[in-house]
Formats: sequence, structure tokens, C-alpha cells
Amino acid sequence: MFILKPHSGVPIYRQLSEQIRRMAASGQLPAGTELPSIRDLALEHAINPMTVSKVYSLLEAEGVLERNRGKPMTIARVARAQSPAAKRVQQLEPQLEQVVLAARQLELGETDVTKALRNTWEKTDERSVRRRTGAR
Amino acid sequence: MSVPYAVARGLGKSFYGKTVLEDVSFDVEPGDIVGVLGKNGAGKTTLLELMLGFTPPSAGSVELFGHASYRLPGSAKARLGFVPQQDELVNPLTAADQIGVIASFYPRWDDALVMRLARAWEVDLGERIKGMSVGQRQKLSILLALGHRPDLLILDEPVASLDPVARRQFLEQIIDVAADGARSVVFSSHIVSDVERLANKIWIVKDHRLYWQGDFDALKDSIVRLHLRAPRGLPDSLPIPNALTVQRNGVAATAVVRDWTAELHHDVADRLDRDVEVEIEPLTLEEIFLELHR
Amino acid sequence: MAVLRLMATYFTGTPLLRGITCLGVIGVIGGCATFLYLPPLLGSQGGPSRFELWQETLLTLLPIGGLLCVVFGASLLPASFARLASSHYVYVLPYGRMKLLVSAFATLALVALIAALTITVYYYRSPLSLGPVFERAFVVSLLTVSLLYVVLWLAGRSSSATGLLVGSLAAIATLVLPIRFIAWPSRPLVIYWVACALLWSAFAAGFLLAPRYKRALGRLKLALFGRSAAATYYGGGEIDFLIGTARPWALALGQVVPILIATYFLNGFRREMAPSGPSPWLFFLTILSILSGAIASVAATRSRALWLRAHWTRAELFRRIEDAFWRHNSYALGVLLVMLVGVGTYFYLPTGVLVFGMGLVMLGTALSTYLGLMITTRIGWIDAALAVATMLALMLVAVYVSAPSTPTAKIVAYEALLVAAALIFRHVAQRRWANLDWMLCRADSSVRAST
Repeated sequence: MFILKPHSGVPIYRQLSEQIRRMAASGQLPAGTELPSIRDLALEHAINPMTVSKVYSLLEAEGVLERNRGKPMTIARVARAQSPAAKRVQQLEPQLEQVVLAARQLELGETDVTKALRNTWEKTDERSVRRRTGAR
Repeated sequence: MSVPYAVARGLGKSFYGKTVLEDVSFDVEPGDIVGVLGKNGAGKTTLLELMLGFTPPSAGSVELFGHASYRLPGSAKARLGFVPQQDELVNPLTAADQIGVIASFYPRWDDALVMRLARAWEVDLGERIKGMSVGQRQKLSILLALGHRPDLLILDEPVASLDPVARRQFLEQIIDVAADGARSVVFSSHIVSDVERLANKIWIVKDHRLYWQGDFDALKDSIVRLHLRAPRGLPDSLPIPNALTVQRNGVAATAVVRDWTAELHHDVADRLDRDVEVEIEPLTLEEIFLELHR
Repeated sequence: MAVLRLMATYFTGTPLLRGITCLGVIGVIGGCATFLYLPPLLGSQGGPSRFELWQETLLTLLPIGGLLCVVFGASLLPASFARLASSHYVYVLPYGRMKLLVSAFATLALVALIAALTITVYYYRSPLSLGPVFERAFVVSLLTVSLLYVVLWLAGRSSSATGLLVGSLAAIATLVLPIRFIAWPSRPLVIYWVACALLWSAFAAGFLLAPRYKRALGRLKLALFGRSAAATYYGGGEIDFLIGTARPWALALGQVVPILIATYFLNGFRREMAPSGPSPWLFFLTILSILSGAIASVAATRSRALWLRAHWTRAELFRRIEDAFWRHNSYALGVLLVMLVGVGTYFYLPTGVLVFGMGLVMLGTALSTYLGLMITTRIGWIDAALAVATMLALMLVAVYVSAPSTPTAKIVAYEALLVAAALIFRHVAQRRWANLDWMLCRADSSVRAST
């Protein structure tokens, strides 16, 4: 379900939490999807179970996941609708940083970048979003 | 706040006049997986032996389950498991007999677990220990420490002789042990990638002290590599605090810093020109270890 | 030259062995000099003497003690030889195996030379001519010393009671056989030279040709020993498995054969004790009683795993291990006592000898066991000196017990002293175990065994 690279330098908890947030926001993990138990996820990726537990608790506090008694954690139903745009924009931070850095290295200005962004926006419509991310 | 399984305060050990460890303090909470790193001879084994009560401390104290380690009572010993660096197996016995001997000391022994693992790890229980390879002996030693389901499992270089498949099986077993959050593991290893996967706390033994004793994620946030790029050239002296190493390369510079915080980030950004880019690269555990020992 | 360097390592590998070798050389030279230049010691031959029994015994024993020290000083030879023989270097160096073989032979020849010189000195004032005595002594020493080291090597490898027994047996043979055979002028000397030559050629051939036949040998070993019965765990006796006292019968019964052989060599089947008296035989028994304690010296190191798992404090651990050792020793001790009484009665030995001999054998076991248990850190000079002193004391008392002229009161007094010593050793061992520090326990096990 997730791609985790323990040796990449980025802490595992951050990789996992960002992936869950992104997949929940993009619909790749629709609301109600059951996430693996802490033990199973830890065993599958050979990582520390406390890390998984930390991520689950963190995301539960944010409202991305919800805990059901006796059943595994699920993607929260109301996450998308209630979360304000500003908060959702925050999830784009890492990618935006990368774009800005790359642009600076290529010595492009802000206007060049926004123009390119608009072009890309128009090129990708709803259907191709779903195709790219593999959501049903 | 749960009661920690192991506590050390100001622990020190000297040996024939030489100081091996000084001023070591730590806590091991239930559910922790602690990775102990250090160069050869830094004192990792001594630290573990002090924890287990094999040797008395020269200074300070170390307690397991609330009792002084050196005088550990039987009730605490039943909650403790240990895998030594050199195995303590009895050569003329078969593996099954060796398990039987060790099992007889514990009130609770999970036979089913040991049998299942022996089969999964391909340890032939009928084989005589004298004829086993080093890897098989190591696997057997690990099995002997798991059978009584200890609350605190201490391992000294447990996978040094295991192939990658066996190592992964071992990792999975450690995760299984710690997964319910009530049992802890402390292990020392040179295979940093394993420690990186598993540990939530890291102890780095360096210069007779614990250079780092705490959260692994915090360690990764604390020691980072800075990349500075300035198209118009960098100033001659770079205002980089706590730098472990600095390398300049024309218009770019790289520095590894420790005790990095957000304030320091602002500090550095303020002191440099506006057009100087500061990029923060997180390091892998191995890189952190190497940079600390440069 | 590489050969000389190798020989030097055999004698001086560890500081302790270096010391023992030096002591040995001094003992041999000093003892021999004393022998040659002092007025003749005639006490043992029935004439009047200027010295008391104990002084005479000491002077007699000194060169032999020195010789023993030299022999044990080179005790690294088997282990080093075995290690070098299977190491990478031997294949890489030109004529590696040849040089190794030569160094071993030269070392043994040197030891045999020293032995022969020492023995010749004993016969200095006797009517026998010295030349043939020396020759005879040399070849017999060479033979027995070669056998001794082969056996020491085997003993070192197994580190079990049986191995130790075999090793000590050979050590004793080195003492007894040369003197015995020298006094048998009827045996043609050439037999020994032939035996020596055969032994060495066989060994050299095997050693130099071994690489070619290693695989076949391995398969043979597997076929013969793969399915042998070994100690199996039937429940109970866990302590014994962890500290090495699990097979008491091996040691106990294994002593019977050497005792019978030694008795034959010393006395033949006549029912009269040889003129040399029962003292060498009593020596022999005393030495065997010490064997039981040799295993005790590694008990401390091996007890770590036991302490970690069992519900005992260090003090309780000591008591349990002490019990285990006495359980184990009782088998061997029982056998020794039975043999003592049996053989003694056969030879019409006086009751006094039997009774005090039994006491001596029991004391030997007790003293050596507690001495072994006292070794809880690296073996220091004090421990080694104490061990040697105890052994000498036991042998001295053995001489007194077997000499008909000694008053009973004296013997009782000496044995009482030994009892006191045993109790003191026990107390010291107990105190040391109460504060056992396993970090300090790590010592070289082969050095322990040879001590």
C-alpha cells in the first residue's frame, strides 16, 4: 500500500504520514478504507511499530483517520469535506518547495513558473487525475 | 507515565585504572526498541554487561525493573533475556537438549513459539551443537532468549553472522516482540541499516560517553547537512554554528551541523545574504554515525 | 630463523608461562648444582644423612620440580602447533610445514635433553657409568615427552574431564617411566631408539602429507563419530551441563586403568612392594585426586549463563556449584579410595599407609576443588604459586605417609594442617564468589587447564 524508504534520510514517520494524508486527500484511499494494524504494517515494512503507532495517533488527531473500537483504523469519512482549503494546501508544501528550488536552479522567474503551472493545470483534467493516481 | 524497565543515572565503569564509560544515563520504556551504536571498543558490550548486572558499576547506578542490576533478584531475571556476542552453548548437547536445559530455569516457557521459530529459521533441533555453523549457533542463542517471553530483551551483536534472509526474519521477530508496546528490546549492532529500520531510540557510545541518548527521529532532526548556494559567491567566513565539517566548492558549500533547530535555521538565514540558498538535507543513520566520527 | 622464533613462542607465549619456564630453568640448574656439590644424600638408601627427611625430599624434588616447570612452560606447544598447522601461513610460507615440524621436534628434543641431564645428575654418585645412563635417559625422555605433548594436545582440545585425565596420565608417565626404565639395564636400548624413530617418522609423514588426505579423513571421522552417543538431557542436572560436571563416571572409571598400569610398572605382580617404597605410587594417586579440581577452575566463567537464568544470588550460586562439584567428585574419589584399599591390601601395605593415604586422597580432591573455585579473575602469580605450593605439600605428606619411620602424630598434624588449608580456601572462594564480576573472569582457558 505504501512506499517507505527507511534509508532515505527522511524520517519514516514523516514519509508514512505524508503518504497517508496525500492518498486520503486525493481519494486514492477513499473514506472508510481500513488501514493495516500496527503490527501488520510494521512487519510488512520491517519498521518500528511505535513509529506506525505515532503516525496513526497523529493522523487521528488531525482528523484524517478515525478509530473504531475493535476494528482497525479507517480513513475518516468527513476529512475531505471539512478540512479547509488552507489546510489542504499545506499538503502540497513539499512538492511546491521542490518546484521552486528546481526553478531557481534553472534560473527561472516567478512568472515563468506560474505560467507553466497554468498550462499543466489545463492539460490535466479530472479523468487523467484518476488514471494517474489509480483511484477507482 | 509507565515505569521504565531500565534506568541508569551517572553510570560509570573503570577497569584496571582505565575509564571505559562515564556519566551514562538512560531510560528504557516499555515498547522501546533501542539501537546501540559505537565503534569497536567504544564500550557497547561493557554498557550491556553493566545493565545485566554481570559487573558492578564503578560510579552511578543502573536498575532493571526497579532493582539494582548487580544484585538482581530471581523475579526480575525471569523477565530478562540476553543474547551474548559469543554464544554460551554447551557443545556435546543437541539443540533440543540445550533448549530443554535453559527452559527448565523458567516458570513460563513458550514451547510452541520456539518450535515454530526453529522451523521457520531452519534450525535443526536434532543437530549437535558442536557441529553447527556459526550462523546456526547464533540463531539458536536468539531462540533461547525468546522462549520465556522476556519483558526486556538485550542482544549484543545478534546478527553478525546471519545471512540477509535470516537477518530479516530476526528483525520481524523483534518487531513482533515490541509490537504490543509492553516489551522492550535493546540491541547493539554494526549493521546500521537494521538499526535504522527498527529503533525508535538510539544510543551512540563515543569517547566513553553516550553522545546521543534519545529519540531516533529527534537525532535525525538534530544532525543535518546544509547545502549553501550563492550565485554571487559566498562570504569568506560562513556563520554556521555547531558545524562538524564544512566543505567549500566555489560558489557552493556543504556543512554537517549538529543540534540543529528551527531557530538556528532562522539565524543562519538572517546572517547570510538574501540570495544565498540554504537547503537542508536529512542524513541516514550511517551517514550521521560516520560524520560524528570524522 | 623462523624455527628458533617458533620455539621461543612455545616457551614464552604468555607472561605466566614465561615465568614458569624461567622458574623451571632456575630450578633445574640450581637443583642439579646443589646435588652435585653437596655431600651425598644417602638417607633414601638407608645410610646416615646430614639432612632431615623433609630437607632431603625437597632437594630431591627441586630439580624434578624445575623439570616439570620447563615441561609445562612449553605447554603452549600443542595448541600453537595445532593452530599454526591449520592456519593460512603454513601454506604460504616456503617449507612452512617442514619448519613447523622441525621447531616442534627441536623443542621436544630440548626438553628431553634437560630431562636427561637432570636424571643423569641423580645418578652422579651411583656406581653406574654416566654415559649410558645419559643416553638411556635421553631416548626414553624423548619418547615419553613426545607422547606427552601429543596427549596434552588431545586433552586441550576436548576440555572435558576425560581429556584432562588422559593428559595428566601422560604427564605422570613422564615422571615415572624414565626413572623406571633406566633402572632396567636388561632392556636393550635400541628398542627405544627404534620406537622413537617410528613415532616421529609416522608423525612427520602424517603431518606433511595431511593436506592431501584431509577430505578423506573428514569423511572417515564423520562415519565413525557422527552417530556416537553423547550426553543427552533427561531432565535434572541442568547445572551440571552448564558448568561441565555432567559425566562423572568418565573420570571415575577412567582412572582405574592408569592406576593398574602404573602399579604394574612400579612393582610387577609380586606381592611385595618394590624397594622404592609406596611413595611414587602414592604420588600418583595424589596427583589423580587433584584432577577433579581442574574442572573447577573454569566454573566461574561458565557460571555466568547460570546466574542470568536461575533464581539464585551469587552466594547461593556458589553453594549450588560447590554441591555439584562434590557430587561429581564423589564418583572419582570413591574409585580412588577403593583402588587404594584394594591395591594396598594386595601388597600388604601397613594399615597406617592405607588410612592416611585415604585421608590424603580426600584432601587432594578438596584442596584442588576449592583452589579451582578460587580462580574468579585472571590467574595471578598468587594463585599459581598457591597451586604449586599445595601440590608440593601434598606430595611431601605422601612421602611422610609412606616412610615407615615417620611418627603418627606428625602425619596427623600435617593432614590437620591440610584440612585447615582446605577450609581457608573454601572461605576465600566463597567470599570471591559473593562479589563475582564476570568482566574480570575472562582468561585464557588453556592456561587455566595447564595450571
